[in-house]
Amino acid sequence: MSLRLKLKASPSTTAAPIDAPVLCPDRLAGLERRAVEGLPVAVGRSSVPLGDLFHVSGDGSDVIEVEGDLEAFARVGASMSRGRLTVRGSVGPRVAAGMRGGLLVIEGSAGDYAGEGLAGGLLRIRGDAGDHLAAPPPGAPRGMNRGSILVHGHAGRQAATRMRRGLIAIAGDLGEGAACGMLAGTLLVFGPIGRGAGALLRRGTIVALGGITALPTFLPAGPLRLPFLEIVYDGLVSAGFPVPAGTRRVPYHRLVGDVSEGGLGEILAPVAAS
Amino acid sequence: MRISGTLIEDTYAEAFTLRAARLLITAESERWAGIAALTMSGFATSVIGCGCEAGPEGPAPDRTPDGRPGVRVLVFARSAGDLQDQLACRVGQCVMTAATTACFDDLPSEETVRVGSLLRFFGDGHQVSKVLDAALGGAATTGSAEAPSRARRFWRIPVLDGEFTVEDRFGVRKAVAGGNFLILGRSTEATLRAAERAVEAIRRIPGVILPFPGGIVRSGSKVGSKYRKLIASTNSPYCPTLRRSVKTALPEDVAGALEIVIDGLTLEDVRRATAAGVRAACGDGVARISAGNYGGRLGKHLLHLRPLLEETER
Repeated sequence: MSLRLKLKASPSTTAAPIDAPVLCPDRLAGLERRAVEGLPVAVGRSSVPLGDLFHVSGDGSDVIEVEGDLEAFARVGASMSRGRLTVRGSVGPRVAAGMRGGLLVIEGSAGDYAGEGLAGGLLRIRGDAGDHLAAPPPGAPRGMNRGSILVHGHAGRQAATRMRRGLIAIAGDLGEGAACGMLAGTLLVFGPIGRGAGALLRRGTIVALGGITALPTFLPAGPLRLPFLEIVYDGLVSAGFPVPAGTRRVPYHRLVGDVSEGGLGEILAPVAAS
Repeated sequence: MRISGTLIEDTYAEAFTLRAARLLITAESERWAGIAALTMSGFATSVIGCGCEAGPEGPAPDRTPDGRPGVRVLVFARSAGDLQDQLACRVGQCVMTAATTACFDDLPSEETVRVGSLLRFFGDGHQVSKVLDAALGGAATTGSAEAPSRARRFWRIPVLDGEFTVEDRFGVRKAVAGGNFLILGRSTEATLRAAERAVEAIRRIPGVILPFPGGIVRSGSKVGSKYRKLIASTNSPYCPTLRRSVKTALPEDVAGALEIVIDGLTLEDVRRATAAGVRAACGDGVARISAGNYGGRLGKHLLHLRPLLEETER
């Protein structure tokens, strides 16, 4: 049986921010209901018990469902390493920051810096993601390092900055400045990609399925058939992520770059879409 | 016990344990996947002299990781270390060199050996690694229900027709090799025809290979030799030319024998294949079916022919 939390009333986003890393299977698993209700949550400069914000039911399993609009809640699922957390609503900034394992599903949209410093597990956002998706933690030289992020909607600016490993798939559009300084990993975007994608890309793959205007520091390297893409698409389909038929078993234009950073990265775009 | 007039001798086959890996080779067409599979299975008839035993396995898979036509290959060797050496050589020299191919692990296991992680250096620094996280990696299989979800790393190695995709590590499991039976025919032609029928029946069964040429062994061996350095020598009791020289196992009405050797992922696979092969071989011109055993000196897996055929009849 899962542990269920239902928000009592949606706090105003203009009120004091709520820091909620406590909403995480690592912290809630194994606790009895009363212990869960007594856990402190930082609201601005003060602390309130979790039970003041949520109705709690169920046992202390590592399968957790949270119902309500959590837009005012920051760091939901931060440092999560196991279990499953489902939020039936939207969440605020820095959801899944430092996540290392498990499955985190956001049924609504996520704020800025979702998946900041993500290092494992699967983060699924059924709505849109804000700016700075999978950003590096403050001061860190590397961004996302392992794990997967699936965004079923659109994502904002500056996604996948200095990404080191892992996979990000975005079903909709992606904002400007994506994959800046990307070190490795795979970014798939099924909608159009904003300006400046892949600037300072060192290695790594950007799959642009909805069109891209590549920077002049990317050079055309001919059409290719790439079996590994089929493996990635298969993985996405099995995870319930829609992959349009026109993307499969077709040749891709390959652009190598950023040549100002060695040119070992690549942008792939289906020949038919180019 | 007789099947279609052929006597089934009251004896048993003796099989032994090896380590196995299962590869899935894909290509633009089944023809090219098959070419790669056959090439990498060349000179892989017996661990005695080839370092490994290998061959294409059973029916083509319904589903492959990259959605292209594919062929499975089973490779057997004495240890995980031997298997790694053989796989690195054979995948590197015979699969990577075959046009349009890719090569995937198809035997999820706790124990693994390096393959792609050794071959990647051929990329001369231009190789690219792609990791599919556990949450997505489970899908990169052939749909096997036993496949656990796990992170999988693939290497993209640049080659002349694009890139060769190969999995970083391949699973290794204990398996059963050396399952066998002997077809004793009244003429050379009838014996060969019976052996071919057996091969055709066994090749429809998943989980097994027939590592010898055309699936048939004409130089069956016994354990040991009069020469100290040899660990195996000709199976003299079944050689028709030695009838008057050694104690023969061939009745007067038998012109010669051929052996079918079966390697399988499990003992049950080998049992199923043996039963199918024996049944297909029995018929006109085949006097007896026997099996090779060495008094328990070779391996721990014993396949008694008569009980096996009685069980599979039910």
